[in-house]
Formats: sequence, C-alpha cells, structure tokens
Amino acid sequence: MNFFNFSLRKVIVFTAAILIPFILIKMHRTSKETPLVLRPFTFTVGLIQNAYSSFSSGVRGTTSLYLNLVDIKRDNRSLMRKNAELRAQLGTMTELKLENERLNQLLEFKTQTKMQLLAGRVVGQDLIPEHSTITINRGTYHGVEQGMAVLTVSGAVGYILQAEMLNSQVILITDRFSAVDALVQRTRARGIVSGISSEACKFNYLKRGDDVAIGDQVVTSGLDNIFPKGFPVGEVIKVEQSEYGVTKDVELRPAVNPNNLEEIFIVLNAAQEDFLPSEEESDSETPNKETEIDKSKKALGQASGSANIER
Amino acid sequence: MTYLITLLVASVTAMPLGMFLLLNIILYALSYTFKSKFYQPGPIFFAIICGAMSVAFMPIHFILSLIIEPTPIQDLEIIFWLLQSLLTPLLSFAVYPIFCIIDDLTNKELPTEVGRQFE
Repeated sequence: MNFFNFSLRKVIVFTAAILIPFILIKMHRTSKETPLVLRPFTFTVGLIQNAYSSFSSGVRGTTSLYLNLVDIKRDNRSLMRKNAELRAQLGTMTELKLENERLNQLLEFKTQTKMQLLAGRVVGQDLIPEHSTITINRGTYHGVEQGMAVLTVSGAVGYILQAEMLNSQVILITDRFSAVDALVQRTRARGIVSGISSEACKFNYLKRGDDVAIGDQVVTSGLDNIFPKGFPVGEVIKVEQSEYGVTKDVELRPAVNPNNLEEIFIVLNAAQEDFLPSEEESDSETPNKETEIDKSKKALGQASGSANIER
Repeated sequence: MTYLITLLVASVTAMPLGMFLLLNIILYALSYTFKSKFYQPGPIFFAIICGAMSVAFMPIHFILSLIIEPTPIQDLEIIFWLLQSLLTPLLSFAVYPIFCIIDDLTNKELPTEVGRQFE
C-alpha cells in the first residue's frame, strides 16, 4: 500500500494551491485597494484594453464617416434637384407676376380713355432687319383695318400696314417708310416722323425758324384722328441746321422700344381723344383739380415708368 | 423654286414683292454661275453656296434699295449681317438632307462633274 508513502513537497504545494485563493479572497474583502499581487496584471491588461479601444474607435469613426458621406452625397443631389425645381417655379411665378402687372396697366389705360381700343399681342417680326415691321394676332376678323394706329401705354408704335383675316402687319415708326404726323409738345412745331433705324427716327419738314431743342417731347398731332392727339412719339436727341437749308435735321429717340414689344393696342376709334394739356389747363388757378386728361397722363406716366424699368 | 420661296417669304416681310423677287432672281443667277464653275457634290459645297448667298444678300439689297426705292436704306445692320453669314452655313448642314429627299422624290440626278448637266 502506498497511501502513507507520500512526499512532503507535494503536500506543501497542494496545501498552498488550496489555501492561496482563500487568502486572496480574505485580502480582497478586507482591503479597499487592489492587492499588490494583482497590480502588474491589471496594469498590463489596462494598457491592452486602452490600445484596443483606441483602435476600434478609429475604425468605427472612419467607417461611419464613409457611410455618412454616401448619405450626404445622396441628400445633396436630392436637395440640388429640388432647388433647381424651385428656382424654375420661382422664375415662372416672377414672369406671371410681371405679366399681371403689365396687363393691369393696360387695363387701367384702356378704362381711363374714351378711345375704342383692341388689345393684341406681337407674334412675329420682319424677317429682313432693314424693314421694321411686326405681326400681331389681330386681323379683319377682329375689326382691324389698314391704317389704324397701334400704340402701347408708353407711346405710339406704328400703324397697320396690311390686315389679313387673323393677323396684321404693323409698320413701326422706326421704319423708313412710315410717316406719322407729329408736333413738338413745347412749341407746337409740326412735322412728319419717319424712321431711320430701330433706335432713331427723323422729324422731317420742320421749318428753319421752328423752335426745337434737345430733350423736347414730340407727340402725335391727332389731325387725322388715327392717332390720338398728344400721344408720345419720342424725344429729341439731335438738332442740326445746315447753313443754307430751309429745314432742320432733327432726330428722335422713340418713346417705345420696338425690340421689347409684347402687348399692344389697336385704335379702332380715336374718338378725338386729346392727351395734350391745353393752355387753359396749364394756367389753371386750381392746379390740384384733376381732369380726365391728367388722370390718363398719370396712368401713362406710371405705366411708362414701369415699362422703362422692364426695358 | 425661286418664285415659290419669294412668295412664301414675302408674307413675313414688308419688302415690296417685286424688289424681293428681283433680289432672289439675282441671288439665284449668282448661285447658278458659281455652281456651274465650281460644283462639288456633298453638303460642304452646299454650305459654301448658302454662306456666299447670305453674304451677298445684304449688299445686293442695299444696291437695289438705292436704285429703286424713294427712301433707300440708311442704316445697315452689320452685326445682323455677320451673324447671318456665320449661322447660315452651319444650319445648311441640317437642311441639306431635306433637299436630298426632295431630289430623290423629283428623280433629279445631281451632276457628278462640272458641265455634265449641259450634255
């Protein structure tokens, strides 16, 4: 039997192996600090844990950054598309607003005058630039006849050159074949306005002694009852007088820019409308008295201001 | 064809019909003379002819206006003329196939050499 045949070393090792955990438990319960034995192990494990934590947080950060970039790019594309749609809508709304303002001015002008007017729209221009004509969407079917005046709230545009059933061709005052009877508003000097180019007209047949200065307003004379009397035609920009000539060379800037025409009025009946202030009204003792002509001129002035802004 | 084009275009311009017809006939004569001397089949020659005629249009119109009209042209639209001269040859490439189709429909054979069409 070898039961009692044991070595002392084995006994001591066995006993220590059994007792050491109990001793450590006892030490852990009684001491608040980490036991000295464990401190190197806890320190090393702590270092390893910190390193791993830093590494994993870095990897997590980079991965989430990439994933966020993908989302950001997608959101950016969507927002840019939405922005473009909204901009287009805004442009449309702005255009509608401007058109509404223009049409309101036209309506106000039409209601404040006794002329019989027919509204129309410009649908085309002359194919050859040396001829200044436009095509409008009103014709004989709407009561338009050849020779009728065409104007806007800003001033005279021209007159009907050729009237077809649904369209008409209008010769502008800037065409070299046009002729509009006009007079200088300040001095009542009369002449004929014809065109030179799209930006200038000529005021012909002014007598040598007629008083015309740069800046004078030229208006329609209204003698033919085609154009209303006193309607703006243009402004004098150049006055030349030759040494031996009997007439003056006067150039005008037209009141209406023919390149920006959209809506126009055709004068079916001028009804002897007079936009020219008479001498009695200008010398009136009651300057605050507002006559029909003043109201119309005020509407014209407001409309001209906004039309100039549109240009 | 010249008369037909004149009638079509005259409806959108205020140029007198007679003067416009005369202008187009002069342009046709010029293009025919040019073609009889330097013809090459293909769209490039067609573009050259179109460009040359668009360049010639304004001077001929100006000269005719000086001779015929009581109030001749005073202000030349140079910029429009230059633009027209540049854009017409470019657009002619788009129009060339249409004229080829018309030639096919009318069974008109294109001359292959200069002078062959007179044989």
